[in-house]
Amino acid sequence: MDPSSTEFIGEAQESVETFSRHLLELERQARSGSPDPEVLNAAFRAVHSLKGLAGLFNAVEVGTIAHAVEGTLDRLRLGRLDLSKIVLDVLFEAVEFFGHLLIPRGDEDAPDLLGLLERIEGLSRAPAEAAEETSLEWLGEAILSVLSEYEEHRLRENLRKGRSLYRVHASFDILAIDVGIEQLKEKMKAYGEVITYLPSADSTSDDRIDLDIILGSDLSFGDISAALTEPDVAVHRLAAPGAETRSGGPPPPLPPPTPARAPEPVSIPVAPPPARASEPRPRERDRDRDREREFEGEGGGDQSLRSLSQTVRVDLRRLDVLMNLVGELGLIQANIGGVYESLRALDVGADVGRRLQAQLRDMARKLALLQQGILDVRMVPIGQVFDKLARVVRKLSRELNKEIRLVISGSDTVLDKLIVEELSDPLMHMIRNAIDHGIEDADQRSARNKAPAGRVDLRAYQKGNRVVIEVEDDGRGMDWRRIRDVGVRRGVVPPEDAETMSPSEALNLIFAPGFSTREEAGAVSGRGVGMDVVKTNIAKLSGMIDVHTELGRGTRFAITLPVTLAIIQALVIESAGHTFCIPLSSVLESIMVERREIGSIEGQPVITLRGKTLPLLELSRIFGLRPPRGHRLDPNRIYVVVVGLAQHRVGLVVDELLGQQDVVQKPLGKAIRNVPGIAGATELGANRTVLLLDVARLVDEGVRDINVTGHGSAAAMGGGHGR
Amino acid sequence: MAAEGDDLWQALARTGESVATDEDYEHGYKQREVRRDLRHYVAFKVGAETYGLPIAEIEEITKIFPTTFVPRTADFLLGIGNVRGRIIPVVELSRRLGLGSPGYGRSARVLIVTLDDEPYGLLVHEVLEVVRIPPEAMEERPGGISGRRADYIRGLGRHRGEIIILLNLAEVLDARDFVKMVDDRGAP
Repeated sequence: MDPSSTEFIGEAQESVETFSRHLLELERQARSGSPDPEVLNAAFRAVHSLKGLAGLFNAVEVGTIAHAVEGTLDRLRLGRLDLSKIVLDVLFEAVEFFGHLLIPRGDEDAPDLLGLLERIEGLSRAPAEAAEETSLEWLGEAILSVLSEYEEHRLRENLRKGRSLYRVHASFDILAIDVGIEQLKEKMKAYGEVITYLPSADSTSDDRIDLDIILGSDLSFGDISAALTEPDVAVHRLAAPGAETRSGGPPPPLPPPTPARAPEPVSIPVAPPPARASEPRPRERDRDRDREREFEGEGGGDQSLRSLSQTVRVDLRRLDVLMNLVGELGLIQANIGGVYESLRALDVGADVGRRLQAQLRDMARKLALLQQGILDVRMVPIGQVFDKLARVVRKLSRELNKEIRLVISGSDTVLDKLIVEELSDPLMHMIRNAIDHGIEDADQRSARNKAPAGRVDLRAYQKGNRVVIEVEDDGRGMDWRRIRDVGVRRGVVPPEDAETMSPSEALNLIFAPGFSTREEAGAVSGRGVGMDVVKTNIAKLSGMIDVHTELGRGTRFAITLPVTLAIIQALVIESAGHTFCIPLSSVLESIMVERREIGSIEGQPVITLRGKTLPLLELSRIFGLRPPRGHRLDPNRIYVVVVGLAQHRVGLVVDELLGQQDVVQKPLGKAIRNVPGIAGATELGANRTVLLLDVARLVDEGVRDINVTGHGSAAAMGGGHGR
Repeated sequence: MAAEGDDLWQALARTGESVATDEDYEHGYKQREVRRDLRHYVAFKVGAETYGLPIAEIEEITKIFPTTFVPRTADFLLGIGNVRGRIIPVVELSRRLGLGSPGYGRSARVLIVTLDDEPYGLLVHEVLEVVRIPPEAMEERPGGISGRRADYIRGLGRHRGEIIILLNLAEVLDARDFVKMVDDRGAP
């Protein structure tokens, strides 16, 4: 099979992302204490499945690195290697490497496979600090002989942390053993770490299976006993709290070594031979085999070929097709409704008519549900992007030598998959800017009484039918005067205009092409392409972006986005006899205006709306629309649709407002995809094709127009933004 | 051996298959390959001229359907229309080929063609028939036609004494020509 197939890339990416997520989690844990072995195992599993996948698809490079990483993780699991910063760095490097391999980007240097491999292997050669090998003799040969290397390591770890070891003896009905074990395991997890399961010698009868479970816990014997003891479960202590163990002294002699196969006096009276050891534990110390088995086991279904996941991968384009069909069904339904109306006008079969009407209403409801269902399928949590950003933050914090605390909230907020994909680049630029330009160096921060670690917040939340994503830093904030001056130096603003510039206008300059406050292009955020690109990309998604900044306190960017792009609510308007749709997500309001209210600033028509000047764009003029013959208009009254995108507000002058409607956006073909001001097309019943306006582009043109016309109206723009 | 050979000839005669003859060998099977090369073209009228497109490039032929005007596009783009849920740009071929815009009657049709997997509509005055043009009846583009118009023509075919101008779809539907420059916005 081909390693460039989408199937492989899709699945491999998922594994890599899982691995990366666990790695970030481990790093957090390592900082605050000790890493959770469960998370380490999960990371191991992710890499293990990646390795398997690579083998299946013959992706040699991915497989080689995955194998090396797997080895490293295994050593971490076994405590042969400490989870140091260096180790984490190399592992994160591997994550990046997988990314490059899976989606090669032409403009980058080919990743250095051998170099990375060497670094990974290097980790392994570096000896972990010699773990003091405390003797575990007192556990008894019966237990020791069946422990795998990993289990033995976990056992030592528990002792080292001063936990007590307990042997939990449980007896299960043979028919319900899987459920029983799972329940008990869940319960025990709350109190400590399950180290291993041992088949017990003392089974009561043929239809019961007994197990000894070794549990490490901070709790006292009394507490554990009270928590776990049930009719078929009994708790025994194996070792005293390991203070002595930690100091390296001799093992505590307190409880006499309890052989696992000793007669069990507590709950079960009879002891038939231990024939049915149904819980397979590898008895040999072959580490590799042990490892494989363990993970296959935890993956469930040792023998079954059935796949565990209940999910399917669906190409977004297929969903688009479905969505189109639903839209067309809606049109057909409207047509049937029309037929029904004409039937009713004929006044025949009133009874049949009523039944038809009832069915139609039913159909409308079901159609709405179907549409919602398809939309839901497209929804993915924004957390997918946040995880990637966490990696970026980590990398930047290293490169710039700034300690950064990333605080994420609202990862589960869902958005259309397409939007989530398109968001990752803009968000990355913003994060880079926040860390590179926003967050000060540690000494500067302490001089200002701030915590030495910079804080970057990444928030997502739903607000009505839109989603707001915020990137906030507690850095130095932006000085609008400085931005204005840089703007003048860069030639973005004519010097004579600078005098009269308002703070919000000056802030808007950061979105201008070619603007950067850094004198030298930094390796990280480069020179002034960032925010320009951000603005364009956000506008493409019918989103708006707002900046809020406080000097010395930090900056907050807020992106407001529609939840989905597939179905959009549109305002249907008419201009010079032509019908158009405007995405409602970019419409702020629509108002009726008398012609005499229209003023003019240096030739640019404007109106005053709530004390602020709003520049007007006449749709028929910018599109060169000629009204059809016999087209009549009220000469005194016009409608103004106030649209806003990114940080600008403009009024579109139209002839009529025809109402609101949910429409399915359809792409235009390659030939006319790039018509400026047109975003797509849609259908409005009766097979009528209507164009959907690209508000971002129109606003942009309007703003350009105004900037050319003169500065007076540019002030009006700024006024529109300042809130 | 001879009897066997005879049987073979007879068997072939029964099934209607033909076997290569000595002449065929001399020509190196040339004739056969040529036969396979025989192409089917749909012939149609644009203004007074007859044009043709390979049948494989045509998806369907429909009557004129309503189109929606798209601002800021070239004059030859009639607009966009909806054919079974797909949005299709419809090109008025006569304008594209520089033949002006003669009126359309009842016989006018829209050829739905595909180029690079994307559908386009071509408005023509009349669809004539499907013709088979052997390669020997094909002519390279004559040198007399020059300029942009020449690029639209792939070659000339002759069918029953009439010249059929074979179009080069990739050039006729060059995406770069569809969008008007925006610099002169405001001008119709």
